[in-house]
Amino acid sequence: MTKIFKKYGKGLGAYILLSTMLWLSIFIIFPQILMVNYSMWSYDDQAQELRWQEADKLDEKRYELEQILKKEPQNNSIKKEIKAINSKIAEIDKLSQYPEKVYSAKNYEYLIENKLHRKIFFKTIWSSILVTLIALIVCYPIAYFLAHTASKKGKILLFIGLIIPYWVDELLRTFAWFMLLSYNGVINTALISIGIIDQPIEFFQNNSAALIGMVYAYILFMLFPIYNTLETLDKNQILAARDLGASWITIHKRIIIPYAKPGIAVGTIFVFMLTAGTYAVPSILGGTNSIWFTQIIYSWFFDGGNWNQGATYGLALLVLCISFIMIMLKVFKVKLEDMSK
Amino acid sequence: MIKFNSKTILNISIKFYFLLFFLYLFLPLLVVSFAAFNDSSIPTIYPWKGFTFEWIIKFFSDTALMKAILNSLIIAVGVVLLSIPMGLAGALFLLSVSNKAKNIFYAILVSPILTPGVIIGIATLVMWNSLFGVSGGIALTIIGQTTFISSMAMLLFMSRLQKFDKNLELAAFDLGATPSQLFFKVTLPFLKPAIYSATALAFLQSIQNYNTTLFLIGTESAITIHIGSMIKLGLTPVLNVLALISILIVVILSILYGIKKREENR
Amino acid sequence: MGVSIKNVFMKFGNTTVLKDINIDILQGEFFSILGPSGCGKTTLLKIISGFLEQTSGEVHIYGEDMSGVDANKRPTSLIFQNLALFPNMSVKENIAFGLDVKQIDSKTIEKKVNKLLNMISLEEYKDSMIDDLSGGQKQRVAIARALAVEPKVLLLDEPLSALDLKLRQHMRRELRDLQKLTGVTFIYITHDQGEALAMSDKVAVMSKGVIEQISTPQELYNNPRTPFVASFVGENNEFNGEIIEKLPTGVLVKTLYGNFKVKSKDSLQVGTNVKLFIRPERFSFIEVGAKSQKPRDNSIILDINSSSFEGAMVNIYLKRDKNDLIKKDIMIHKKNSENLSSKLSASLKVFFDDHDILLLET
Repeated sequence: MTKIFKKYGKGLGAYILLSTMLWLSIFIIFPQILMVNYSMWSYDDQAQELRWQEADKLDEKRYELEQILKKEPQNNSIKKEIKAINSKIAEIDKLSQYPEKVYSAKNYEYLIENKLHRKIFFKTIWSSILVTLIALIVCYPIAYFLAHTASKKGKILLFIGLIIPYWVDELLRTFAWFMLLSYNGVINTALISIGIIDQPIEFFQNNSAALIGMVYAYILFMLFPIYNTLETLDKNQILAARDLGASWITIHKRIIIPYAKPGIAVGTIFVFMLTAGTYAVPSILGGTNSIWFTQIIYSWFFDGGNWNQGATYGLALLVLCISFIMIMLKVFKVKLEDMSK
Repeated sequence: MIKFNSKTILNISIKFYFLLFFLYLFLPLLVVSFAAFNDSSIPTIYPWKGFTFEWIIKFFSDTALMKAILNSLIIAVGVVLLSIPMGLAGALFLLSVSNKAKNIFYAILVSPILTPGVIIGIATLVMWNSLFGVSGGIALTIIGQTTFISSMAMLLFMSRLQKFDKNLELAAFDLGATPSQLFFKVTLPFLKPAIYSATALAFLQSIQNYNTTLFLIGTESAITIHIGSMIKLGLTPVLNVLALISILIVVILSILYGIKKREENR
Repeated sequence: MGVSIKNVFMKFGNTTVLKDINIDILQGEFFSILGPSGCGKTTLLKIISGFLEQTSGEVHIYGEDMSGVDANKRPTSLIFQNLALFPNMSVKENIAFGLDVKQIDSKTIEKKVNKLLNMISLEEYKDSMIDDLSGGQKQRVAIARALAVEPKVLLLDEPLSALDLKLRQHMRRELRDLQKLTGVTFIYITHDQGEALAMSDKVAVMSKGVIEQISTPQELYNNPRTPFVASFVGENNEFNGEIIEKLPTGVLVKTLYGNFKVKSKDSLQVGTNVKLFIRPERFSFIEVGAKSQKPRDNSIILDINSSSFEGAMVNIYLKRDKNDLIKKDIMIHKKNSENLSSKLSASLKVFFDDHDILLLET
């Protein structure tokens, strides 16, 4: 730590240290800790229920007393009693505004026991893996030829062609597919007018539209990392291998793919993470039958009003992504530090 | 006479593959753009009902949309102002800690990039709401986006700093510069290109962010949130105008970027 | 005294990189530190400039003890191997940097920079960016930048190593002239003995963290005091031997190639193991079978292994005895005047005078 001050001087060193610690704590670590904390407690519904029952009883009693009071308006003891009941009800109201927190595994149990949600969670995993695989298979040849056979001038042109769709907003790109795939959309109308089909295909009712949209939305996150690593591969290595009599398949298997590993790992991680964590694509391209896990999380927060349950679901998604990253880093034997390239 | 040997076949199939890939990338964008001019009440290009500028006029008079764009710009400026100095500090910090500590801090500081945006949104909302009573809005959105956009900026700074000749530091020091003079006269000018690209990246990422913003924007609006609700409730070709304009902006930016890259290559 | 280094030791963990270094460098001297890579010369330079702190010992610059004085406070300037010019600044700004950071007024800076630009004759390039300069020009800017802060001592860390041969030889002269012009003490680090011999007033030869010899270039070449210096500075042929007899003018040394008469002033004991060194240019030779002259002392007949044409010179390599522990071929020079290289026969008879042999105890 003293090295920071020695290297940057007092003022600058203090800024660097302070800023980084602030980012680390308030922006990154504390929010996650609080999310974990939220997932572990819930409001005590039972206590709340008992309170309401008691309030109901008091209310009934008050009604009875009020009836009596109507008959004997001068009865001071009943007046007093009603007053006491009123303050009691007010107290209960106040308490029920701040219900007790109870720490338990309840939220987790709910996630595990809810069949539908569990199914959607696993669907999210499989679909994300599928999207990742498609992206990898489509992008590898593109990245390779772009890095190694395109001329310098053509490379820049192709590169521009790739960053345009990459930089266009994810929502707008998804909207494009919404236009193409919707019930009265471009594809359906075209197919009907040609006479291939006579009923519009309901892409949104199965997962196909959402999957198509996800591949489209995230495919370039696979392409660029692979391209970046392949671009630094010395072309002479390929020539040397060719010269030594290796076939194309061998060259890819023994030289190019091993070299591209860090890029493949980064691309795979990004596409998986983005797909598993997307809210935009399924909410636009999905129907009622193709709910995504993130949509459940959203509704826990903003429709159901149960943040604790929502935090638990969020945590499940986070754990899924972390596990995937760990597995990929292991499989590709890449370190996290190598990824910054 | 064309001779079909295996090499020409390979060449043709590569070109065909590229063509297909680019068609796949661009056709949807073209469809979206053209629909902006179709005189139809729903966004489509087929059937074509005639050419119109109506939607473009409606776009500029859509006050809710303009408000959303303005909010997004405010958020983006806030994110740039926070994330660039913070990412830079992070990169400089990592440069000056021991190797073991470096790996741990690095993992923590890049983790926001590897975390789904939804999670960052939830975690930020939960913390600020439960500890400080802050509810969703522009400020909270800036905070949430800054969390991971700082990491992106930091990576850009780190890769630039990797190319920094350490001897420059020693030379400046040897010539009598103090550490802060060294930073402001040598290191910072060296980082200038990275600062520009990090700013552009941060701006773009902020404007286009949806997943994190969704949880943090509260009752305010932002452009992506507005687009999302437009698609679901009240879809008109005004959205196509928005798409057309942003695609045009991106095309111009990409061409500028390409020109710059070509100059660098020379 | 310009720079004096007293009993300096440097240890990194358990490895001792510098061992009891003692050097005195006069004011205004061009002093070189010569040694193979890994000998510790760069470490020593870093200690003088203040980038490293020695484990023990002292460095004095112009009489002042430098312990605890940081690099940016020392009256030294360092020229880096890769020059380390600031790429984001123009030539002028580079040269002005050291003055700029001391917040000297801009007029004084301007004047000084112009003077330096004049000295390195790069006035018309003052607004050029560094990347637009040639290798030699960059070199000069680096020197001007270092001299701008008026250092008492200029430290140079193999600054010529990146240049091509022609330019390197040109820059040697230029550096030497600059040093004489400015009168600044130069400490020059190099592994190239040609550079050290050509430029320096004095040279210190280093090996494995120890100073082997400090003397003038001539002295270093003619009278090396250790076997390392004898073989590192210039080409030399080494022979192992043992003194077997004392002679009036020296000693008789027994080697695998016969007994050699060697001139020696020292009082050496019979039975001492010694090393003999003979420079390639000190040999005379005749072809075997040529008309034999009268028999001479110190002569050997050896087979030719190979020869190489070096322009002004032909190097002839002779095979050693197969029992010799030294495997390196014996090298002799032959002037190129007699175009003899193609006609060399299989063996040569070589001989040398007793005063052309250097004798060192092992």
